[in-house]
Amino acid sequence: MNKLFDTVLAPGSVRGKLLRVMLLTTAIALCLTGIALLTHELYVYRTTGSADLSTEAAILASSTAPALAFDDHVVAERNLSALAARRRVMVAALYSANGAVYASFVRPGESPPPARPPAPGVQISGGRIEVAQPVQRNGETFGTIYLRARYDVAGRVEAYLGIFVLVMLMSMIAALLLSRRLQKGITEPLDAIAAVAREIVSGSDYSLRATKFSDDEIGVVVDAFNKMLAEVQARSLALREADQKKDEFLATLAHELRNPLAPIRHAVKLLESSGVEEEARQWARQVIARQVQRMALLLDDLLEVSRITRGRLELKVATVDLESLVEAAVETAKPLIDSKQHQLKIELPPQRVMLAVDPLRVSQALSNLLTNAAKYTDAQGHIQLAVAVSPKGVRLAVKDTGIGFESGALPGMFEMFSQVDSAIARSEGGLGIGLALVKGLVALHGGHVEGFSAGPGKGSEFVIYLPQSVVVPGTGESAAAPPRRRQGKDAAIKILVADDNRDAADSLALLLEMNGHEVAVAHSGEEALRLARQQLPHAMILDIGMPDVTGYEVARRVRAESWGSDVLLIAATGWGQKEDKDRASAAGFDCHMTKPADPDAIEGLLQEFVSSRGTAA
Amino acid sequence: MTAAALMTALWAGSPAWAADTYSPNVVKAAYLVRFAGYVDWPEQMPAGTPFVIAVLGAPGVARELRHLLPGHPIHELNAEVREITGAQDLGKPQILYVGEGRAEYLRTAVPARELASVLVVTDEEGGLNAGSALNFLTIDRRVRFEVSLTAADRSGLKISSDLLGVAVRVRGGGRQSRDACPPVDTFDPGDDGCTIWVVQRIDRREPPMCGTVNAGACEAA
Repeated sequence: MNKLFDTVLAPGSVRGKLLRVMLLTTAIALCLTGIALLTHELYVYRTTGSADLSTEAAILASSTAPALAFDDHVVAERNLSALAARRRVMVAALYSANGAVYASFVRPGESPPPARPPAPGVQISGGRIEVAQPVQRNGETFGTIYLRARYDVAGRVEAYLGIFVLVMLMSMIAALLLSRRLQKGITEPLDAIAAVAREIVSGSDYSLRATKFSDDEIGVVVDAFNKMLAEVQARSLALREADQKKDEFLATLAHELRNPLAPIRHAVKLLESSGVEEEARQWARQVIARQVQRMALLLDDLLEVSRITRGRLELKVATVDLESLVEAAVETAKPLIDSKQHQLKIELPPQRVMLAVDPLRVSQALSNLLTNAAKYTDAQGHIQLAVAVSPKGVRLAVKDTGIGFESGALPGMFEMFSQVDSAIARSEGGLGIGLALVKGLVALHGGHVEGFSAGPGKGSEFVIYLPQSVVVPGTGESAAAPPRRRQGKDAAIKILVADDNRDAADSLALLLEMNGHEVAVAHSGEEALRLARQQLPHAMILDIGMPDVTGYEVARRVRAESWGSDVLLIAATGWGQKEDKDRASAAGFDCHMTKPADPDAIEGLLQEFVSSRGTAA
Repeated sequence: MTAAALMTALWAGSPAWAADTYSPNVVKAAYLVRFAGYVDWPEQMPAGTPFVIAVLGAPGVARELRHLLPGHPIHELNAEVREITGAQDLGKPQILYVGEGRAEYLRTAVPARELASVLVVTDEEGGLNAGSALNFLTIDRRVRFEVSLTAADRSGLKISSDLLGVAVRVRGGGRQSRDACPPVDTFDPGDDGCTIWVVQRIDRREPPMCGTVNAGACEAA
């Protein structure tokens, strides 16, 4: 049976399978019907055959009774010969009461009736039915009537099989012809889908669509198929666009990163050459600092955006003064605004407002808007920063008199790597991630960003909306200002800096020393441990990727020392992933900074540490 | 004597020599008894009363009947033989057998009204002319009989067509097929859709007698 099913559903086209299924079911149905009919027919043949013959015999018995009663041989013969019309009856005989044959009827070729009357009853055997009945009238028995008919089961079955084979053949032909027509409704739509699918596989043309013929399951499949195609088409398009954007971005990135190198190279050359006046040296140092700052900002933005897009950015929410947030943002954008001699006008709400936000991120978002305004406004323009607080939340609007944009450009502006064409043409450059970063940072706070412009050349306005939920009701609480504002020389401590990159270690040590701290430098993990045991520093800033002993290992060993539990351990790495941070804290680090570490941020951490522990050198 | 014994007695051998073995009186007595099975009397005979076969002028037949009748009921009645000598002691028999040569007496002496509901059987050439319904004849030394449906009808008797089939002659018969026969060999499915009527001539008589056969088409369906 399973083999039969396997054969029917053998690999091949749907059309072939359907056809085989149809033929098989037709054949099975016909066979079952045929068997049922044949069985019934044979049963009926048997029962009616004997019943008919018995009836015949009964009729004959009553009609021949007078002939026997009154000894009328002629009438008896005549009665029997009437059976000639009954073609079933082959032999008939009338026996008198003494058991002798009184009259008989025998068809040519048939054996004669038995010489003595058989016992009354029906007997079926050897292809014949025999019936014997007594001839009675008014209680008198005059003799016996005997009838014999053919009982041709084999003939019946044969005739039936003939009919069956004929019907089977005709049904199969009809099924074939019919299925050809009926299957069109099933296979044609399938063929259509299959054809489209094949074409797509070979040609990757996702704009093709399958035709829908009906609303049945195939119709649903067609719909789903087309929907998926549309999705694939849209995605492949988006992928291509993203790919293109990425290429453009890489080009831009390379350009942007390369741009500061030329002035730095020149400045270094200037510093190297002897006989240069101190004024020129000073200028060179400023150039280098400025360009490094620019690169750092660029990379910060880049990292931040990638963190946001990967959902890795975690907000460090603190309660801060709105005004200090704005100040920090303005401070960051100030150099560019000043250099282009823009006029900056700031409007702040009259009352003091405290916000529960990540101060770094919000001021970063705002400074990005200010930087953009400064960048895309011709020199000596006007920039207005309006901050307002309402029951709906906080509104931070940056308006400029710059190049503006077409309203159609708006949706794409908040996407990564996008820049308005007119902006690209400008020399200010940039990665095209500023607004995407703003949008992401604000969205993390539950807010949103909107942009407006009356058109190209007519200035633009970008507004950050922060929800009411971030506003802390009431005043008087001491605001935790952003770390970068924490320029303090109030507490000096002992610090150990360890990094196998000598320049990095030395420059950081120099900066920390300038802040009044006592700094020791190690250039390997072993050295860091040795120095730490000698000097017992309050804080250690450890590079993770040192060749001999990693920062993690150093931290673990320090923590294992009796004096090591109170030391502030800061990890400095090129990796800023959450796993890296988790690993660092597992090794015993207090905090984790991504290189290049901002000296101000380190100083902020140190001061926080000092104030919390009340320790001083 | 039981029926079977009677039959054995009558048909012990081939019919050809039956008449040789049995005297005509035996055969006639047996036939008289059997005639009763093919005749319907107009009145229901009350249970308890005897079925009377009166015999006039045929002591041989009467003797055979006396042998035959005990234990052999006719129409579920005890049958008895009564020998009579004339119309005066006729009484009310069911069958009156008038012996050979007494038909004339019957015709002249017995009033027709006395013979209502009586099956009269004569036994001589032209016996039917005396008003009898049945008349024995001897043909080829065998006992045969002829029927007068007119006489039977007059007496209010109905004679079965089965009996007519084995009669040598049937006189009259207009009453047997009161309606004209439909065309012979008609084949007609009945109104109820269940029966098929086939009309065939029975024998070759004039006027024709016809019969119908219910083929029971419904059973077949």
